[in-house]
Amino acid sequence: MMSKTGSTLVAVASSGGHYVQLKRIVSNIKRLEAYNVLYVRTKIGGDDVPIGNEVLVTDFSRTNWWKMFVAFFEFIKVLGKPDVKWVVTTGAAPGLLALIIARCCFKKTIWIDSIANTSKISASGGVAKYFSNVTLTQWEHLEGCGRVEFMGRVI
Amino acid sequence: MINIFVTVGAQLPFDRLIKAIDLLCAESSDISVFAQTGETDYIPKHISYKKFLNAIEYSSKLVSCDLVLSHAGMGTIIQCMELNKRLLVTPRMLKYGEHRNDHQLGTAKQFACVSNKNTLLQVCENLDELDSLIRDMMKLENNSNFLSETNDTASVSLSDSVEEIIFGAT
Repeated sequence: MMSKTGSTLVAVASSGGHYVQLKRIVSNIKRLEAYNVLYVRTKIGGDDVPIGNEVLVTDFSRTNWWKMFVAFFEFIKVLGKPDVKWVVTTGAAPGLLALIIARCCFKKTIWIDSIANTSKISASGGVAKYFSNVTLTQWEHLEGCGRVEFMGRVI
Repeated sequence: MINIFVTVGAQLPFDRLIKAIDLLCAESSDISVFAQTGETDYIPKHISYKKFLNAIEYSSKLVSCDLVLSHAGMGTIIQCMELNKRLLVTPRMLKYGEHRNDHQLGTAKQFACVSNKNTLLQVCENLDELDSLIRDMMKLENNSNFLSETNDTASVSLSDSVEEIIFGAT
């Protein structure tokens, strides 16, 4: 049994498939009790509410990019805290914004590209690899494009 | 009565799928459908639907249905795998403007390799076959295999890899 380090791991993803993958990966990390874990996901629909240790942020993508500025300040509030040590994300665009903000705040980051990207790494992942401490793909044949590594798959 | 839960995911509508199941319901009295449709202008006439479901509504629909019909989204695939639920996936296609690229065809192709007529996950590439695929899948036992091959070690090792990165290789 490991004692708490007092540090926080923030796991960020867009709601939907990215978030399902993120929860499956993070919840299977065995020594995670050493960290406080906070899940951040994007809000979908009008009546979406956080459950448990979740925080909701404004969703955006390439089609409504201006909402990024709202999400920016929401992420700063969560990721800028001194106890946050690691930020893990499976994407997509909001995950990339969180990762860049996290690096600017001197946090360590892991980008895990979605398993749905079978033929090439996602557009967000292609940018994330220049910022992230570690960038993972879930497909062996996509390893090696830049600093991208393969270390397993979510299923 | 066959209870079907249709879900198109949190991001984009998928009217081709919603129209196909709506038409099927008009012709079949033994199929009951609830659909999560996303932000769409198409109004289904023969099925119950809602644009978005919260997490509690979503998981209760997922658990209680006999079969899930969805886009080729990884979230739905993983959740159905965890529940060992019948899942029929139809990939979104760029040529119909259903996604920003054709990555769902790639996903469908990967899963077509690990599914067959006896597995709970199946891929529907042609919506004309929707009716017959649904009926064939309903003949499968609830405890049938979700995939023809599973790679549990790969799943465990990704979490282990992330753990090693965070705690330093031991």
